[in-house]
Amino acid sequence: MKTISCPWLSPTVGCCLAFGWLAGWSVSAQNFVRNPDFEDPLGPDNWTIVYTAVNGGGANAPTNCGPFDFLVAGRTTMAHKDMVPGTWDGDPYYWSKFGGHFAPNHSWLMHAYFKQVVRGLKPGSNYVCSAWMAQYTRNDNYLTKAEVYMETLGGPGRAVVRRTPNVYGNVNNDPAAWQRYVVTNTASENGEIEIRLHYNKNGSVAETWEYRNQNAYYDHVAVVPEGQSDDMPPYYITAFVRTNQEILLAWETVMNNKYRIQVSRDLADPNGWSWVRWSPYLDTNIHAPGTNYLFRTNLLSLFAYDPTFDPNAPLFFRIYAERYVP
Amino acid sequence: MKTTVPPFLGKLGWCLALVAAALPLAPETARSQELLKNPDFESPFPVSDPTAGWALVYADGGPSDFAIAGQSTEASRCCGGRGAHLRPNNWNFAHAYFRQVVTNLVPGARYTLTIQKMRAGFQNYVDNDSLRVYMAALSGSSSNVVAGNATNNGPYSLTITCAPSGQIEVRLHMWKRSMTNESSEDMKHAKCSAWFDDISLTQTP
Repeated sequence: MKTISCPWLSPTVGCCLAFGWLAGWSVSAQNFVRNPDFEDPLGPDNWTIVYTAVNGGGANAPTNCGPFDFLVAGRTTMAHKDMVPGTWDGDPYYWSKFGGHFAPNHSWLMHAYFKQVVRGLKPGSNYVCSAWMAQYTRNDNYLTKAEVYMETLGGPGRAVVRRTPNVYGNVNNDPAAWQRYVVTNTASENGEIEIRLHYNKNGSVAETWEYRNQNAYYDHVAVVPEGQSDDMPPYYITAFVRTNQEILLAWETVMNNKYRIQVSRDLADPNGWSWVRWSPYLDTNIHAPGTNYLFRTNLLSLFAYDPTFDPNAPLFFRIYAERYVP
Repeated sequence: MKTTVPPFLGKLGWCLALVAAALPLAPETARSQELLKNPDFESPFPVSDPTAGWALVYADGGPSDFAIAGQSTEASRCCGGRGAHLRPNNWNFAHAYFRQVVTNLVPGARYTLTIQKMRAGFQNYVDNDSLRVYMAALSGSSSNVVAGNATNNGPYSLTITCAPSGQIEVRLHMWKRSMTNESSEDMKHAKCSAWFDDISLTQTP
């Protein structure tokens, strides 16, 4: 646990004290992928979708696919991989709901991939690139109709290509079929590795509507330094300001690590800490997008769920952190 | 549809071929000139201005009533390209069409509209008139129509006389005219595609 000095506030509204609290102190590594779990909307600062030519598929294979060729080309809850496959990531760990998802929109052929250029790496260093991937279909005969795989481009000029085998695991009624695929590549001279998560459907299906029963899922994508065993450094709460019922709380973060806020009214009571839950229907986990996080809220709103909340009583906060698990 | 240059024709070969073709046929060139924009549907569409390319009109229903209303690989006639594709997204009625207006034509002249692929996805519905896939040309108060089916691509042609306005409007329709009785194992609406590719409008010699 890490504590910092208590910033005294107006004596009329009591004292608010903030702490940082480390948890999950075990083997881990910093993940440099932005939006690795597809929890945030896709965009140019994380994943983009590239429509491209079909590899294989014969002489008339499409050379230029497009959005209408895909029923799904984005993120869905259907494509989410639970931390323990088959066990729903329910409260209090329901912070990850989405996954990357491709599904065809017709019986013919198409090819697209999620693309992200992972930056901020050490040029020339090796990185372990991984993704959980699976197919979902009610007919195993369809599994070979599509090539589902991860491709990484690293090395000088990002010309060194490393790719996983094709994914043939079918998670329909078999969550254990989710598999983590791993390749190692080297950061380019600019400190970059490009990640591509492919869906290349190069075989057609005769039944008109069976395209709806073909899906490719991707989740928990990671690029971590090879050999790094831990990345949960001590962290500090860098700002804590209360103005009447408005509070501002900022702390240092590791990108992609998870954070939650705990509150107590009595610092002397070790059992007095509880999770802040601004609504029982909203997630209370905070997913760090960078190296600092700024949390700002109104206390009355924050504790609207608690009828015993006294805005004039002392309040103490601490920040709980969990490492990213690829 | 996507086409490629024959590899045996170098630059010189192309020049000679073009000169040879242009000299004796110059008077015919205007007549045989392709008048439609994006006739192979390879360039992006729909566009907002129907004189600039293929625009999209929802005649019955809206964007969410259509699973596909634009380019797809499945609609391509051949050769790895794309074609124009309309497909309903549910069991209810659905009607949309791609539209292009060609201007500066010769009033009173005859024009030929030809499409190499115009295909419906579900012949049963074509047979009982629940699904109409057709191509229309309109000019002034005149119009002409030809319909496709699910058994072959075509080609299909029609002719029309240009009105004093000097304009001809071309429409490519998918009209699902009945509610479908379906189940998750037989999603008939997913069969009701309309595919179009490689269309041409030229002045009739």
